[in-house]
Amino acid sequence: MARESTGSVTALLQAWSSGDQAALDQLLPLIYDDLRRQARRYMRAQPAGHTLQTTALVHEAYLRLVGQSAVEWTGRAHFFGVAAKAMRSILVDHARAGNAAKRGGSARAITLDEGAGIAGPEPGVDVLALHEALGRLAELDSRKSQLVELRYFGGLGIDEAAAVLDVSAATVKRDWTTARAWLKRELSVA
Amino acid sequence: MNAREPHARLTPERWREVEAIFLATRDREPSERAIFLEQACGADAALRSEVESLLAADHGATGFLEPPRLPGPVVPTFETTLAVALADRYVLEGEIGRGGMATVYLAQDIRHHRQVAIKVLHPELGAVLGADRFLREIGIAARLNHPHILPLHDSGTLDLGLGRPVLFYAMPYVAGQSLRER
Repeated sequence: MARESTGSVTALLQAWSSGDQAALDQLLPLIYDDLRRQARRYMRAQPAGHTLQTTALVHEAYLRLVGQSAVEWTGRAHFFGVAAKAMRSILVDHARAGNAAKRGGSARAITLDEGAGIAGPEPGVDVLALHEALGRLAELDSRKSQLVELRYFGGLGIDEAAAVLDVSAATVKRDWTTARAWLKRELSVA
Repeated sequence: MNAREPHARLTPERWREVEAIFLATRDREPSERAIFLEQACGADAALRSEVESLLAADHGATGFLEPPRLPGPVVPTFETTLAVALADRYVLEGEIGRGGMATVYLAQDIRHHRQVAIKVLHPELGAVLGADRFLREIGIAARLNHPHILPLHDSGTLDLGLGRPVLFYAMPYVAGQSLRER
């Protein structure tokens, strides 16, 4: 629970940053559980058809699990990387459950908040369609698929994503441009 | 989705080629793009069509899937700060009520594996009332045992960095019944 995880998440992040790959296996369930609990709390508190601010959720999870403890910048980026993966899986599960409920009668659609400051109204992104398209992108170009996961589900900036993917910021920007166009095309056909 | 099947079947080499031409075309002035594409793709019509469809999608894609920008360091909400401060004893599960004096949260008591209602006095009120008086009063309540008075599990003050202590107390959580009804 929260008491143990505050310390251990920090320790696991440090272990992972210094090359201990096994730390990731322990980190994922901790972050996943926390995020799922929070997401459920938000979904319960909100009316149907709301938008879920996943980025805010992930940042709150970071504050709760890591807080002010000393974690290297790369450790922080890695936390968001794991959280993005967890967030994606939570939302996909939720969307599937929602679709099942819809067939059963009670509709409850979830779309993601795409953030303020976007020129022109963008219709909410269908989480399942995006998830499936990301799966196809992963077969073609796994780094780009991972990048979209990091940014869209985890709210990472260009530099943080570059740290997680271990490439330059310039590469991330190019990848992002291509992945965005590719997904836009995929999703507009769907 | 089936209409797009050919795009998904590109080989990695072909995809790298498509991407390189897409990005290079995109960097050029709109008036120069057609000529550039012509030169880059030559007689390969499939390559050209692939790049062109990406360029068309890119045209309306500004901001698409862009995560909301969080300005500078994240400023935690009151609820997050509270959840962090209580984290060694309780897992905050959500707000269940709000009144003029306090907000009540549902929480999981980690040590005793039970659900509790945590009443948190509004910070401004805590300042007026004073921590001593508040704690003395709930100290009295803790000693009472009466059907119309909820037993007290826990109480205390929290430093949430607001410059004044935040007062709270925890009571058993009774599902399906408002605290006032009891």
